[in-house]
Amino acid sequence: MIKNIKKYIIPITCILSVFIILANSILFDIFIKIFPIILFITPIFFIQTILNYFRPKKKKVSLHSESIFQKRLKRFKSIKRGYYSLYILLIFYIISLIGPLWMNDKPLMIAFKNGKYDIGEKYEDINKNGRFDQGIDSFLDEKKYYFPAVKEFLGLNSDYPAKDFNQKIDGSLMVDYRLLNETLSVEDSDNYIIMPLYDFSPNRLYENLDDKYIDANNNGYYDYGCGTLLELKLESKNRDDIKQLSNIQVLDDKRISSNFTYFNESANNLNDGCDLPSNNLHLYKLSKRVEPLPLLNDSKSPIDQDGNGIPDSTYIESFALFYNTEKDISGFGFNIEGAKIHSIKGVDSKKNNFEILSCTETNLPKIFECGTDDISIKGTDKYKEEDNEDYCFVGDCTCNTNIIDGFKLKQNVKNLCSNNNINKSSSIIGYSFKESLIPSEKELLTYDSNKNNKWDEDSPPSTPGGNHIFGIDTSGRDVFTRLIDGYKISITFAIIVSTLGYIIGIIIGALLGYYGGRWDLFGVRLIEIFSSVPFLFVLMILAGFMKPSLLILAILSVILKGWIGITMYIRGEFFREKPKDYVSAAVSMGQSNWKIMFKHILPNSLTPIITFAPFSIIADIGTLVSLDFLGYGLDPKISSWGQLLRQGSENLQEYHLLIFPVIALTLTIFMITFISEAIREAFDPRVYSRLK
Amino acid sequence: MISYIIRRLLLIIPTFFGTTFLVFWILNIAPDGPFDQEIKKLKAANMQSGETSGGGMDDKPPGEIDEEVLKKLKREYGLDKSILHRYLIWLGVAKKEVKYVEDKKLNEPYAHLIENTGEIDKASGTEISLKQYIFPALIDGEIVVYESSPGVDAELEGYERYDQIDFETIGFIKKIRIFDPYLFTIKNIGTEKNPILLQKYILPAVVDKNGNPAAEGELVVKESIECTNISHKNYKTIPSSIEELFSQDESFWKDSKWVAGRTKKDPSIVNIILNDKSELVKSKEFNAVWKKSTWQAKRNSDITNFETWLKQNEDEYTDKVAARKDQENIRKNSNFKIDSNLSLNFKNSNASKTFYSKAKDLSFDNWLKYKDKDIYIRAIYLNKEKAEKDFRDLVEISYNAREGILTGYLGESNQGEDVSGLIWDRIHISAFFGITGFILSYLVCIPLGIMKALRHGSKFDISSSFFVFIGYSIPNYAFGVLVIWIFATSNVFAEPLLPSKGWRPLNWEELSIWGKMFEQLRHALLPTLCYMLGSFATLTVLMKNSLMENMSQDYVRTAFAKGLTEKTVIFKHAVRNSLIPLATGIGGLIGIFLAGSYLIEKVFGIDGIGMLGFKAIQDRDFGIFLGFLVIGTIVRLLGNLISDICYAVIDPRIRFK
Repeated sequence: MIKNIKKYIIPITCILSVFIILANSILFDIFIKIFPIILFITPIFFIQTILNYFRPKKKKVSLHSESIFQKRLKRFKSIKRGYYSLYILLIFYIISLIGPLWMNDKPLMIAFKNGKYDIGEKYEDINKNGRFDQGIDSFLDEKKYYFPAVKEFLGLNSDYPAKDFNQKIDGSLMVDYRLLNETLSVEDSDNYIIMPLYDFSPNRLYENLDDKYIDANNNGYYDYGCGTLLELKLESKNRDDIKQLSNIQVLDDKRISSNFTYFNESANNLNDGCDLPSNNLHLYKLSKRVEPLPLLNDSKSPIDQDGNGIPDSTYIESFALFYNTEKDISGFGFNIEGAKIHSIKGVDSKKNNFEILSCTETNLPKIFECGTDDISIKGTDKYKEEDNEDYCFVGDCTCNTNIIDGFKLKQNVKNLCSNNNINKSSSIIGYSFKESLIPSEKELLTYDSNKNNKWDEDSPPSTPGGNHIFGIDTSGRDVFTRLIDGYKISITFAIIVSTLGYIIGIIIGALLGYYGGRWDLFGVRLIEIFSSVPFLFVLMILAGFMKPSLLILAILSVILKGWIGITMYIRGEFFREKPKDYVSAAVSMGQSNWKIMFKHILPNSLTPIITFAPFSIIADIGTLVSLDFLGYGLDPKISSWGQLLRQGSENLQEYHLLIFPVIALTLTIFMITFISEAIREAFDPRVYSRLK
Repeated sequence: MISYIIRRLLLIIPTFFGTTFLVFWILNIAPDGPFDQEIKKLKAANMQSGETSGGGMDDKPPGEIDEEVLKKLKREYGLDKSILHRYLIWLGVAKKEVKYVEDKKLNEPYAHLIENTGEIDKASGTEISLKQYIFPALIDGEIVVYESSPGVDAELEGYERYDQIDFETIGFIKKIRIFDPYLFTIKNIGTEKNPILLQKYILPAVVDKNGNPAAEGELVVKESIECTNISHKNYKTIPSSIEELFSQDESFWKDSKWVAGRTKKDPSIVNIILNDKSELVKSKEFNAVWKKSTWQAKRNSDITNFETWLKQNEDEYTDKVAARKDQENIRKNSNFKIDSNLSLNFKNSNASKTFYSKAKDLSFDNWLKYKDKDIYIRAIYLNKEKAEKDFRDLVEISYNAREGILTGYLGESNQGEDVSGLIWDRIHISAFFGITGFILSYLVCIPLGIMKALRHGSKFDISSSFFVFIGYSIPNYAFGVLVIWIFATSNVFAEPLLPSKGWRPLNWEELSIWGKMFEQLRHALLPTLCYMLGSFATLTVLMKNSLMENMSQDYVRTAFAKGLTEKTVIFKHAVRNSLIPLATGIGGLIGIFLAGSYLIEKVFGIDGIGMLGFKAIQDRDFGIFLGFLVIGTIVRLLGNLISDICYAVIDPRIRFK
């Protein structure tokens, strides 16, 4: 067996892969348990093959005659480009299957001593004070080992609580491994961390382009960005208005909590009785992580209550303080860098609360239309269901009404958006549509950070270079990992569809071809009906409301189309084979119909089945890609080439979103075409000779 | 051959029905269809109104839809029928309920709105609408529906007026007061110059049990004997004044064939109508105005709705006089018992005590509406029998028609546009790309295939094979995005060389003929390339393989043996024969006009037929999609047939059995 293993390596790998995929999708839980075994068995074959290669070759004297199938296989192997293509694709597939082990933002291993008592650690009287104290000296701090990437690969919970690693992350109780990695690279300790080869995951967002881990406040911890002061200008000269705002506490770039009026120069000038600079709108960019902001008259400070200078929970993306004498307004608004101030809530000089929807096209302070007193903008959730956006953007629209009807405005905005075909550009005002007018985290996290003059959904696409070798897509995910993962998904989908299609197609085709007659007439009508149905359209309709998983989508496409081609092939083959003598012989020997069909005829009609397989796989990959391209395929979280292509077609200046998936897709299909050519030549050799 | 074609044509029919039914079924099970969208809108509207009213009187949670409304909506969308029935309606086999109106009174014409003309009436400032009267009449126990000719309700050129029907001549008198005698002219028995009018009085009256006029009682119609307005030997002269009329003796009045019905608004005003309709419908005057309608009417069979209907029309059937009397009695006398069977039930109960104690202080309207426990005081004064009788006389009028695929009607979109029109508007785009793509790809692929076959194994063959494989590997829409990126943006070239989107430039109308041609070429170049790419690889390889196979055939050998030149052998013998497999594509020619890959059209922003189908799916516009499907299926099936026939015509070796 071992000696002949090289001969069986391809079929075994194929079967194993099919098994892995089917198990992966169908019986995920059971599969998780047996997967390690399969995983450790598979390399053995490879090692065996490699060893065989180096072993001195004995001259084999074969006593058995080769079957026709073996001959064909030999012929296939001799066609190198097809044979190697198959190998490359398979190896790539296995590499993509073990993706979590080598492309992951979770480390392969962490060895960490956290200096704190953890459950399971021994109490030991190290400082010999005769007591078991609760402190550093009283217990033995064991170094612990963690394997998050492996755990994720095995489908286990790979998140550990942040406190185990002495991390303070706001809003998240789980450890941030990348932050940990950065910390450990700076900190001097014998804790260490081994990151995978390529430390990004396909499904995680990297919105800050990895520049967020800066210890700006020198507190020894790496923070989520830090404040930089940005000053913008607003025309006004009245100091009294500014004073209205004195009870806001903000965090400046030195992380000093202070009242507005004292914490920067222009404000000091104000107190000194100097004339204000003609403009004084101040915009403070503070932090990216945003929690609900305190209201203007709220005494709660955005600073942490411990007083240790580390922001606790409230971070502000950026916000502006301003006043405007002409309109008797002062207040603050939230600004998104690149976009404009979009909502302001504050107190005017008459101590009335007001809320503003500001609309400005280019520079901030020019137009601030507002209503005084209690204008409240009441957002309705009516349209929430439709587009799930609390946020909308208009082009070239200034809102000059004093009384702002949020509902109407939203409608106008919608109309404008659709009429002008505007796709979120920066000359657009955004406005918050929540009752509180305080932008949510999602709203504030959305900004135009790559300055491409487009308002970005989550974070910008960034071109290749730096840490991300193929760049980042429009949602802030790593393109390279998504390409690799997308390969896995595409091939998996194609194999599931082809396998299921083959099973169904062979059975139906055999029945039609063998029994013929009325059954055939009926069956062919059925085939005609199904092949007349506009396949992709119907799949889009079904996928539109079913929101299918990979397996469901595969089953749908098998039912709608996958079985038809192979059924017709098998039917034809059976028609051809049925009148042959060996079938008559089998019939006369009293074999059952079932046996004749699948034991006698089917092995004799394998040629079209095998030659058809690569085409079917190409078609299935094409189906998945075009579905995702149209936006009707799998969940957007799942990596797919079609999705990347769509992003590329929508952002034409981002070449990496277009070129890489096209190359990946073309290369894959190209290699499958080579395989199909080789198979066809091996199974159906035609020698064309001609006179010249 | 002919029998084969006929058989194939016959087999197309079940396939067509099967396909359309399959898709029809899928569309119907898919949520978010037009019906669901309507429901969603209603729910949202309800939610908003629920919020503004702050809870309101209803106990229903906001956002819920009334069951009645839901039922009506379902009926409007035909969802009250089975899927098969709906399919048959869509086909045009079963009748479709185009419009229907509920709760119309029998024997009373109502003005039915046909459409708004779009013109504004200067006098009233309202939009003028085209209307007609629909009249469900009970004739000899059967309901027959009549309609008047359509007209408008104001002066408008080119239209008749619909509301100037002289109801008197056709047996209607609308709106007269009770005890108000109506002078009805029967006919002129004199000459035109000296008219002698035969007249009679018609008098709706309320009589008590003894037949004497009374304030409350049965509504009857009396009529006078026929008189003339000028003294006549055979007839009595008509009384000229009311006093004179009422001083006539009893023989002057007789029971009339006319019947009266109270109007809704004011119970003292009645409509009267000639009861003997079988006579009426024969009359010349009647037929001049009314003609038999295609509308259908049936009585309200659904008695379960009676209670809700009654609640809506309570006022009409409440005996207010009796109620007021009782209330006054209760005010005067606390021991007063309501003289009715219902009152017995709660006379001794606790409920009655609270009722009586409260009833004293109530105003009349509240008294009528007063609710105590489950006893609805108003019910005591409600004339249910009469209401039920009236309710049974309510009819539902509906208009059914057969229109569907089989009658040549492709349906309409959600916005009400005609689908065939929508397709027709875009056919030139698809035809353009279809024809150019077809011609160009055959022009390129056949010579290329021949060259590759003749130089099989050469450097040219291998290098061109590489491009053919690449062309096969890259999906055409991805190629489209790629060429847009290269040629239509400024990423590769400093200036975009070609427009990236659209079928024609925006200023198309202003361009000269040369400009038009140039611009069209610029716009169509990239999409055409993509369309070609789709068939490029398969066609080339097919041509190559087919030619190579033919070149190794014996007849080629024979031709060579005969001493023919290579050129003659190849182009006169081999190439001609190897074009046969390519003939399969000819069936696709019929589809050229409807070709259109929505993927390519989406990439290039061309609003063609493919895009129409894609948008229909996006907007869940199933009307468009089904129309699109029908055309597509027919074209496909016919194309297959034509391909097979072409095959047989070109290749005489093929026999059909």
